[in-house]
Amino acid sequence: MSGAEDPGGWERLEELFHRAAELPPDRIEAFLDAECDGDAELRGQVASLLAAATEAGGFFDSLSERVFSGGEGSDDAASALSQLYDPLLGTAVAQYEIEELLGSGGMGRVYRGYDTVLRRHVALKFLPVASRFPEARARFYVEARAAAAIRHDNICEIHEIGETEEGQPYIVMPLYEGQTLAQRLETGPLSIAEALDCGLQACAGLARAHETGVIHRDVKPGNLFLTRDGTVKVLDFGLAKLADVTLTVTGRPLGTLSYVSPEQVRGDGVDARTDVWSLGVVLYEMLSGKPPFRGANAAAVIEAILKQRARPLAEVVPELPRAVAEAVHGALSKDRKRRTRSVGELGARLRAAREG
Amino acid sequence: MAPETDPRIPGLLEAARGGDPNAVRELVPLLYEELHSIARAQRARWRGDMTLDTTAVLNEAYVKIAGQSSPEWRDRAHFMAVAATAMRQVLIDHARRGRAQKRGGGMMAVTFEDIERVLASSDPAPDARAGIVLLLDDCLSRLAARSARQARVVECRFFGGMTIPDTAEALGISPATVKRDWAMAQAWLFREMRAAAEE
Repeated sequence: MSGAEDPGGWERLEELFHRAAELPPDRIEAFLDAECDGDAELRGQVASLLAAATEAGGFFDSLSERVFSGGEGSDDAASALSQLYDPLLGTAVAQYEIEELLGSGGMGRVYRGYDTVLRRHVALKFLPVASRFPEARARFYVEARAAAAIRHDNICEIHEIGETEEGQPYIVMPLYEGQTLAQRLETGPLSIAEALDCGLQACAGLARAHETGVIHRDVKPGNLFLTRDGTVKVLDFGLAKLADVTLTVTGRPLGTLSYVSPEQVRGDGVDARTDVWSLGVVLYEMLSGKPPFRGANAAAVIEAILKQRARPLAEVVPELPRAVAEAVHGALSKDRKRRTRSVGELGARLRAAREG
Repeated sequence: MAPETDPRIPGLLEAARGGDPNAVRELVPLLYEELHSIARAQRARWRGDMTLDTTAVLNEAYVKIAGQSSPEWRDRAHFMAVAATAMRQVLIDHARRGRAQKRGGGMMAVTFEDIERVLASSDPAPDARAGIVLLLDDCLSRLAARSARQARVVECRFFGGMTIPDTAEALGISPATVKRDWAMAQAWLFREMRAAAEE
């Protein structure tokens, strides 16, 4: 065992490591030469630790993200419990007082906050730990800026993007009253009229986003908010790109895997037709109560997305007009080239079906 | 109906907080049972074979135990620190079982590529994740032989998901010490894990 590895040597190793870590990089060599005074073993130990230190923090952040993750399935118990002990609650971030945890999921935690400057309530979304990685953060800002520039009644507005003192990014949004489509679906399918109305509003919002070159990538019931006055707001633009870092397809909670497109599963490039697919899955679920591609585990869901034909909606919901079923199945073509080409076209088909 | 928690736990926590090392030794297996049963009940929420909302498990255990304890005992940070040690055990056992089922009991080595994937913030194969956790456990035991305090800091920060101030409070050391210990322990563990990984 080397000198630096026995207990007395450890204290010396600790001291040198911490002192060296505070030096500018170009002075470390000289510092080690002087301090280690010919003890090559000790010098090697400190130098290898310093080298490891540059990556170690990122490694453990990433490992912890991969091993322990709330995931979206753990909403209820976890958020109820963490609400009791949440270090953010009761504190202020910039001009916002954090009042209550509204929900949590793979894409972070959402709080009700009070803007003490404008004297109004807002929703604040704090992004997960992995978003502290510089690359992911840079990517997030690019997307969030693009998303913030989209103005549409069916897209959740972004008031502001900020960062806590610890460097955790957050988004400030209006506080809407109502529920997500995911919460609504827990009570059963929607009526045909409600489902078409919700689908058409989501199409309108997504169409505007696509016009400006922004693809959502993560359209799912949890990201469609139904306000009390009946307006649908598409949430979380730009976050899905961040999710590529924090949640790969296989890492997603089962419940949200169902909305992923075949090209996303295969890891192929994603374009606006991915949102067409996901919205098709959401429409299918709104009408029938269940998403078309399901399975007991991730592998089975993926298999179904890639290979299984969706059970015809007309069989599941016999009273459904044929044109509606055809519009939904048109969005669910596994081959992108044969899929309904845009959300605009999907909307037009749904509208024609409703009126026809 | 959830079973009652072991009646010995609150008294032992009190003694552990008073600095009795035997109390900690007795607590870990008791808390292990508690955490394990909560984790089992939450199995639906485990992601793949190695993911667990540890914070939720620890919180649930705390709520349960604090709720049934004498009113004097309400020290969350301290509870978390002891429970983090037990949580490490729960996770390690889970990882071992997962591997035993998958790989016919054989211990597969973690590859250099697995480490690189985690470093690049992407997911390693699900059973590689278990391997990495086992490797971490192994390296952490070696670190404990060199610095017991650094190893405790890692347990609190990594396995218990505790903040720096909570860790400092629970271990009775300053936040600055926690920060330094955490930085060096991570560097040391990362170096050892990477060295142990196979090309």
